[in-house]
Amino acid sequence: MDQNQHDRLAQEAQYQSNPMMAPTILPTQTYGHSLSSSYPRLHPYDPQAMYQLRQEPLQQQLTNFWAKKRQEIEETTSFKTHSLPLARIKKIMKGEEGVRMVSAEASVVFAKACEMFMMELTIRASGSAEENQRKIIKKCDVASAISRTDVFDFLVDIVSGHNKIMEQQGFVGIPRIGTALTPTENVPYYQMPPHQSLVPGPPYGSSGMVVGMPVHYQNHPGLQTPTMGPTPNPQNSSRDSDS
Amino acid sequence: MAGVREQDQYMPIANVIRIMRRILPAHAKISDDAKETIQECVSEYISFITAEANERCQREQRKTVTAEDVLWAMEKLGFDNYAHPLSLYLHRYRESEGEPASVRRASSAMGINNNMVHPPYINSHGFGMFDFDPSSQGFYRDDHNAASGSGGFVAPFDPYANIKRDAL
Repeated sequence: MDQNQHDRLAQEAQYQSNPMMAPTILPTQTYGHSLSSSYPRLHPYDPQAMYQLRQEPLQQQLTNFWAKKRQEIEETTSFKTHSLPLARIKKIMKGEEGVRMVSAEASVVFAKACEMFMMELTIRASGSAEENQRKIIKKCDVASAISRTDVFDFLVDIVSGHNKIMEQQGFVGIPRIGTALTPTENVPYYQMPPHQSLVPGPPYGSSGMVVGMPVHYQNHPGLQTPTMGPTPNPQNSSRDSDS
Repeated sequence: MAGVREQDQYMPIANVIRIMRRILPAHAKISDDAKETIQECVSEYISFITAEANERCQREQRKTVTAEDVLWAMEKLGFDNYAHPLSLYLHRYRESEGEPASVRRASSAMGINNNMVHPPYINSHGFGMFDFDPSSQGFYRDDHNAASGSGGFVAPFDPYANIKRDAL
């Protein structure tokens, strides 16, 4: 785990040393101007350009992550403790229509799989937070990570619900210019623009203070029922490739 | 706060946070809404994979969703990079279930699996040996490659065919 932290820090150093990603001019001086060309960074609203720019560090993080996972599994000596409760996993599995019995080994495999899933999603979300120069990962970063990864299409309904909440918050607390950006976040089946920040209005620096404050009314888990979310399985099962 | 029944549909938030933090640098922060979003995503992931695994189960007229069904579903749904290390994990889990700790490494090193003790309370265990015999699938040769730092270890996932699993 220490090695992993070291890798992460090294990656961050490399990320921050990239002049395109860390402009010497403070964003607060130019962000919010109607002319995006005046902004020193390369096409902040061009998904393709930003996507290419993001790919290398994120891809290397993920490559390191998978290599570390294989090593971790090879070195595992105790199979008695799991990072997630097996009974809860089994209960969720049985909640799926038509599932009758679940083997103990299936729960064990899922415990490890979910751990890997959460970590991959977290890595991708932290990449999104870094793009917006934030140290705090927000749900819009998770939404961005999901929209950029084909195998995560089945999660679109979950984050779409959250996007609606974000839109509500947008009307409450975001300046007019921010409202104009919000609709693009609600396109569920296409790649969202790279900037997912909820506080795009000037001055960027001081409005960033708001980012760290949790908004409690958004956090209610009862707002969604995940089991109703997935699209019909035949559509998903036909997918053969991943990004 | 959500009712007890709804809480049972998610992983405990403390476990979610602990796992997220393991992959992040110490100074990283996670907003509460991000934590809860990941929490919901995990449940969705389990349901998504389980539905696909259960379809195969039903096609083959079996009642129990097995670990092999889960791994097969992951490959089919694009999670190949999960299924491969998990095949190894399942294999090693079965080893640990069948042998005392002091013998585990020696047996693993020599590739001995036919002598594995079959615990009576896990009916399905015996079939695992056919699915993941390391000598036939090259697990340990791949281990060597991994140790030398060469390309990633890819365990061939060969789902059993026409073998009925007993219900637990």
